[in-house]
Amino acid sequence: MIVRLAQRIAILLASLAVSSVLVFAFMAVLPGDPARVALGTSASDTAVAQLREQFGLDRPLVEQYLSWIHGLVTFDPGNSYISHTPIGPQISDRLQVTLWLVGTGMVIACIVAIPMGMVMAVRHRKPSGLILSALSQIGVAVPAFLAGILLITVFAVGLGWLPANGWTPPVEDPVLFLKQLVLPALSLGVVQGAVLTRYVRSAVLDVLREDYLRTARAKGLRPTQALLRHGLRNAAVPVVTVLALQLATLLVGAVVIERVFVIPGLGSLLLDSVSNRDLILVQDVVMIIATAVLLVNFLVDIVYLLIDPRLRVGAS
Amino acid sequence: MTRDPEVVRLVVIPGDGIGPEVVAATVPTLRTALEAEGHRPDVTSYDWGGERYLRQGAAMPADAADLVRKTDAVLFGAVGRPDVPEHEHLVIVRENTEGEYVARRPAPYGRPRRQRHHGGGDIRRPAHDGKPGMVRMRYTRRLVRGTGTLAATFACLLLAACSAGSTASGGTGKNALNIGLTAEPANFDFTKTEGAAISQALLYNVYENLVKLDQSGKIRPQLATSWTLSKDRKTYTFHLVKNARFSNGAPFTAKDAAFSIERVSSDWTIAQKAQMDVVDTARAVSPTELKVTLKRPSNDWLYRMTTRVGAMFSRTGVDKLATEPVGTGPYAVRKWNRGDSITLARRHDYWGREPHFASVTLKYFKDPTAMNNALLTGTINVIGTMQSPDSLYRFANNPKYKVIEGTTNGEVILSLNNGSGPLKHPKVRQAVRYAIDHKALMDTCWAGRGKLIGSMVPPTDPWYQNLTNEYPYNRDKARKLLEESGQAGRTLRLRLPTLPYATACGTVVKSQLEQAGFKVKLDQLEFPAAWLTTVFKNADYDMSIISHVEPRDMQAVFGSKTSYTRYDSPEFRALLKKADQGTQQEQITAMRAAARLLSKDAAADWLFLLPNLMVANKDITGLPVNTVSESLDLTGLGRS
Amino acid sequence: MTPAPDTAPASAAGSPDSPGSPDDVLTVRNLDVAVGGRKLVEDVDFTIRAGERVGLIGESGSGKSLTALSVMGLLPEELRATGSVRLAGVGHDLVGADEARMSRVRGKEIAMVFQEPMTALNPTMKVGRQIAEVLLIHRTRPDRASARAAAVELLAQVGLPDPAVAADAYPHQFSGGQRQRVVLAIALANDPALLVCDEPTTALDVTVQARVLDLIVRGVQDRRSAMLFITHDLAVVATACERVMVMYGGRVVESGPVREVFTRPRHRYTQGLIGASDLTVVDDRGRLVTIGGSVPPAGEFPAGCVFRNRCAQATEVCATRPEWVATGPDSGYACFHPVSGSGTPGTGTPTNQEAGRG
Repeated sequence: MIVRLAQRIAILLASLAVSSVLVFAFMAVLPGDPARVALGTSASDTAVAQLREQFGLDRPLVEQYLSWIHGLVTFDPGNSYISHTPIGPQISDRLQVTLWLVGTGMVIACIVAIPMGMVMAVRHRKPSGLILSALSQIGVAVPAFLAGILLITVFAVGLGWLPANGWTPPVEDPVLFLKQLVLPALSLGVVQGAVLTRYVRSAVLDVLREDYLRTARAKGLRPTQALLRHGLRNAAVPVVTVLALQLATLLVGAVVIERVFVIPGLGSLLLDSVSNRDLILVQDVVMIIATAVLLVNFLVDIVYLLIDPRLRVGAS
Repeated sequence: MTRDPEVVRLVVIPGDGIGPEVVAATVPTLRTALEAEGHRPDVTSYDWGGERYLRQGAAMPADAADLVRKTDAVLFGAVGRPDVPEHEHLVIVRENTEGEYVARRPAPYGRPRRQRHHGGGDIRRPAHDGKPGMVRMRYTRRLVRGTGTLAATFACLLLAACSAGSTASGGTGKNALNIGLTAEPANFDFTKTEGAAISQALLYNVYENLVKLDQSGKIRPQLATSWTLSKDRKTYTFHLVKNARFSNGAPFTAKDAAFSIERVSSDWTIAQKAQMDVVDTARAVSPTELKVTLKRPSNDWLYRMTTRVGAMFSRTGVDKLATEPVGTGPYAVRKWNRGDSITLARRHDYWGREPHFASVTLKYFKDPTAMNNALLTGTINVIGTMQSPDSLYRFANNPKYKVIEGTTNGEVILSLNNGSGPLKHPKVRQAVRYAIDHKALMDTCWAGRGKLIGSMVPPTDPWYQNLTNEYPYNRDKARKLLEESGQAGRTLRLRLPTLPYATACGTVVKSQLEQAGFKVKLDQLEFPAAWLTTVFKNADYDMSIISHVEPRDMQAVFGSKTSYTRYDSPEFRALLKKADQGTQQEQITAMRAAARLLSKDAAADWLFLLPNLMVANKDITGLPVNTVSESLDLTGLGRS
Repeated sequence: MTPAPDTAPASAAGSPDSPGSPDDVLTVRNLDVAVGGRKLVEDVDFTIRAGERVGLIGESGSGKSLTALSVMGLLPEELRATGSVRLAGVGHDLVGADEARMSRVRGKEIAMVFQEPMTALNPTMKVGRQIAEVLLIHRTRPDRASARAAAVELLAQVGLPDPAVAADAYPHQFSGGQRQRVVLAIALANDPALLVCDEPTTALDVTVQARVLDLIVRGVQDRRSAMLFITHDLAVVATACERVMVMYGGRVVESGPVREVFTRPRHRYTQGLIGASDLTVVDDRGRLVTIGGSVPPAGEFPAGCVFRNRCAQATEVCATRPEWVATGPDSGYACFHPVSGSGTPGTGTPTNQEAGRG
C-alpha cells in the first residue's frame, strides 16, 4: 500500500512538472507582446522595451521558466502586467470564492444524486423510478446558467427572499454571505446533481446484478440492507471517478454562473486576463487549475485504494 | 472684444439643493428657445450660493457685480441651506430697467410684496429711486430682436429666500450609495493605464483638477478659484484654494500643481500625455499662485486641464498610484474587492463642501441582466450605464425608478478606411453615407435612444452644429455614386469589435448597404486585443463600427494620417491648428469648419451619439444628465 | 454415503396443507414458476426429510435452479411462483411470503451455496466480517467479538489453513476453492435445517471438486441438515446424494434412490442421460452417445409429455400429459413408455441422432 502511495505521489509530481512546461511553452509561443499590450497601442518603443526588461521578458526562456516556477513554489508570483498589483492575493481571493461556490455546489449535488440514484436503480422498472429518471433527464438538459436565471427570477426578483447577485466574504458578513451563496450553489448543485444521479443509478444497477448481493440476500439481508452494506462501497468507485471529473471541470466551468451571479471567482479572472492579454496572470491561473485537477485525480486514486482492496496489491 | 450680435450671454446661477437640477433641465430648454429665435446662447455658470458660503466664506465673489454686468440675462436657480444663516449675505446689485419674465415661480406679477423668508418665486419690481433694493429672483429674457432694448436685471442673493429643498436632512447623513457600472478598472493608475474606467471612478471624486467641467460643458473653478490669461495668450496665472489637503495629510500648494503638470511629460506613458506637450514651464510663484507658460497659445490646453491629464497629485503621494491613489478630492478609496466593487469613503478633512453620501460603492457587472436585477432587488440604487436600452421598459413606467437620458461624448462611427481599399475613393465613401438610414438604424439597434449627429461633435461642445442633413438618406443617390466610382463590384470588409452596440448595428448597416448595391462581408474581432491590433494599429479593414468616447477627439481620430482612419487632409489639420491657437471665437469658427469638412469629405459616417442612459431610485438626486467628461461625478449626488 | 434412516412412508402426493410426517423438512407441492404467461417450472412436488441428501439433476434450462430459487424466495422480479413450499419450523408458506418474513428464514433455516465462488463474496469486505455478519443478523451470537471468534472457528471447520489470519483477508486473496469454502462456512454458520446447493463445484478444478464436495457432505451430516443438491453432473449426485430427482422441461420426470435411478432408469430421458454419461460406448461412427435434438427454450416445451419431441418411443398418446406413476414413497416416473422393469442393467439403450423421428 505504501508502495502504491509513493507511486501515486511520484506520478503527481511528474505530471505537475510536465504541465508547467506545457503551459509556459504555450504562453511563450502565443502571438502578442505582453509589454506592448499592457501599454497600449500608442506606446513608444522605448517604453515597451523598458517594460519588457521590467517584466524580465528579455531573458532566455529557460531562465524565465525557472524564475516563474520559483515564484510559484515560494508563493511569490510577482505582479500582474496589466494591473501592476500583486498576483498572489488576487488569485487567493478568487480561489477562495471558487472553492466555496464549487464545494457547496458539489455537496448539494451529492446530497441530491446519491439517494435519488439509488432509488432510481432499485425501482428502475417501476413507475416511480421512471418518473425520477425523466426528472433527471430534464436536469441534465438544463444548463446551469438557465437554472440560475430561473432561480433569480423567482426567488430574488419575484419573491425577494434572496439577493439576486453579489458576493461578500464570510468573515465580513456571514449572514449575507450565506444568503448570496444559496442560489448560485443551488444552480450548480442541482444541475450537476442530475448528471451525477445518472451515474449513481448506473453504478448501483451494476452492483444490484452482482452475485455478492445475491449472497447477501441469501444470508437474510433485506434488499435495502444488502445494497447499503455491500453495494455502496462497490458502487462508489465509478461515482467517485465522475465526481472527480465534475469537480475538475467546475473549477473553470462555473464561470458562467459567476457571470450571472456576479461572483468574482477563478473562472472570470481567467476570462478577464485572457481578454486583457495579462499573460502572466493567465499562466499562473492555468497552472493553478492544472494543479487542482491533478491533485483531485491524485486524491481520487488514494480514495480508490481505500475503497477497493484489490487495487492495493496489484493484480492477484 | 467685439460681440457677435447673435450671441446671448447668459449667466447661470444654479445655487443649492434642487437648484442645480432645475437649472440643468432649464438650460437646454432656454438654448432651444433661443436658437429657435436665431440667437446663440453663450452660457457661463457660477457656483454662487450657500454652498460657496460654506466652502469659501462668501456666497458670491467680491466682483460678482462686474461679472454679471456685461451679460444679457441671468438664470437663477435656488439658494438656501438649512445650515447657513439667513440674511447673512445680502448682495446688492444695481438694477437696470425691468424686463420680461420667461418663467417664474407662482407669484403675482408686478405686485410689490415684500416677503423675507420663504421659499418661492416672489418677483418684485425693482425700486425706482435708484437705491439698491432686494430682489429675490428674476428671470429675464432679451427682447425680440429688432427692438434693441436690453434688459439686464441683476439678481440679488438672499440666502434663505428660496427654499432650496434640503439635500440632506440633518446635513451630514451617514447615507451610503451603490452604483452599478460595467467596466472595472484594471488598477488605479490612469497615468499608465488606458481606458476610461479608472477616470470614471476617481476623477473629481478622489482626484481634483485646477478646473473642472460642469454639466453644460463649461470650464469651472475647482482647485483654482480663478485664473487669468496673459495678453499674448500664452501664460495662465491660476489662483489656488488655500486650504486643500491631500488624503495623505499633505497640503496642496502650487508646487504640487507644477509637479503634477511637469510629471505628465516625464512619467506618464499613455497617449494623452501629449496634451501637455504644449506646456513650456509651470512655476509656483507662491503657495497659492501658479503660472503656466505655453509654447504657443492653445485653447485646447485649458480644456484638457479638466481631464485626467490635469489631475493634481501630491509630491509625496505618487509611489503607489496603482493601488493607493492620493488626491485632494472629497472621497478616498476605502476598499477594492477585485472583480466586484470599489468603495469610496467620504473624507473628514476635505477642504470643500462635503458630499451627501458618506460612502459610495461602485459595483461592476459584466452582465446587463444581473445589473437590472440588482437594481430591482435593491442591491444597487443606480444603474450608471444602461447597456441594453431594450430593457428600459422594466423601469420606465415604474414609479419607484426614474430614467435619465442625456448625451455623451461617445460618437458611434462607421469608420471608413480612407487610406486603402475601395473606400479610398471619395465617391464610395459618400455613397456609404447616403446609403445609411440613420434614424431607422438607431431605432432598430439602440431602441431609438441616442442622438443623431452629422459629424464628430456632440451637442455639449461649444462649436456644435447640426450637420445631420448634409447626407440625407437617399438610396438611389448612393447607388449612383457607387456606380460612378467604378468600385461597385468590390467587397467591403466590415470588421466589428465584440461590443454590444457594434454587433447590434453591424447587421443593420450591412443590410442597408447591400440594399444600395454594396457587397459587404461581416466578421467579428475580439475586443480589445484583436480589434486594437487588427483595425486600430494595422488598419487592416475597410469599415468598422466603434464608439469614440474621449471628449473632443476630432483631432485624435482624424487629425493624422497615421491614425486608423487614415484620413489625410492638410486643410483639416490647418483648421484644427487655427482653432487651437486662435481666440475663443476663432476656435469656434474653425472647429465648425473642420467638422463640416469631415462631413463633406465623408471621412467616416456618424451613426449616432451614444446616449447617457441611467436608471435610479426615484429619490436619488444630482445625477449627471450628460456625460461631458470621463468622470462620474459623485460629489453632487444626494438623496431627497 | 450413508443411507438416510428409514422413515414412515409419506405419500408423494400428500395434501398441500398437512406437513406430512414430523420428519419432513421441506415440502413442495404444485410449485409453478411463470413469467408473463409462460410456465418455466410446472407442477413440481417433492418432500425432503431431516438429514436427507436429495439431488436434483437436469440439463440447463430444465428449471432446476428456478426451483431452488423459489424455495429461497430469491426469484428474479419478473418471475412469479405459485404453489406451496413449507419448511419445518416455519409457520408460513414460503411462496408469496413478504420480504420481512423471508429474510428471517434465509441464512438461518435455509441456506444456499451458489455456483460461482469467484463473484459470490463482497470484494471490499474482509472475509471474517462477511461470515460474522450472518451470525449477527440472526442474533445467533450476541456481539461482534463472539461472532468473529465463531467465524474463525467456522473457517477452521471448512479446512482453511491459518483461520485467524484468513478471517482478516479479502476475498481476492483466496483461490476459487477457498472462496467456496468460505461461502460454505457462511451457509452452515447458523446450522440451517436445509442447505440448498446450486452446482457448487461446477466452477472448480476437478482436483478441488472432490474435497469441497466431501466438505459439504460432512458439513450437513454433522449438523443433521437436509440438503437439496442441484447439478447436471451424474457422478457428483451419485457421490453426494441418497435420492435423486430428474427434471426436464420444468417438470420432475423421475425420482427415486440414486442407485435405483441410475441403474434402472424408467423415464426415457433418464435413460438417455445415463447413456450419454457413459464414455466407453460409441456408435458405429465412433461418436459418443447423445440425446437427439436439443432442449427447447424455456416455456416452449411441447404440450403433453415434455420430452416427446426428442424421444424415440414417443407416440400419439404422448401428446397428453403422462400421470405420475409412483413406485415407492418418494419414487416414481411420468412416462407412457417407460424402460421395461427388467431393463438392461448398466447403460440404457443407446440412441443415435435420428432417434427424434416418430
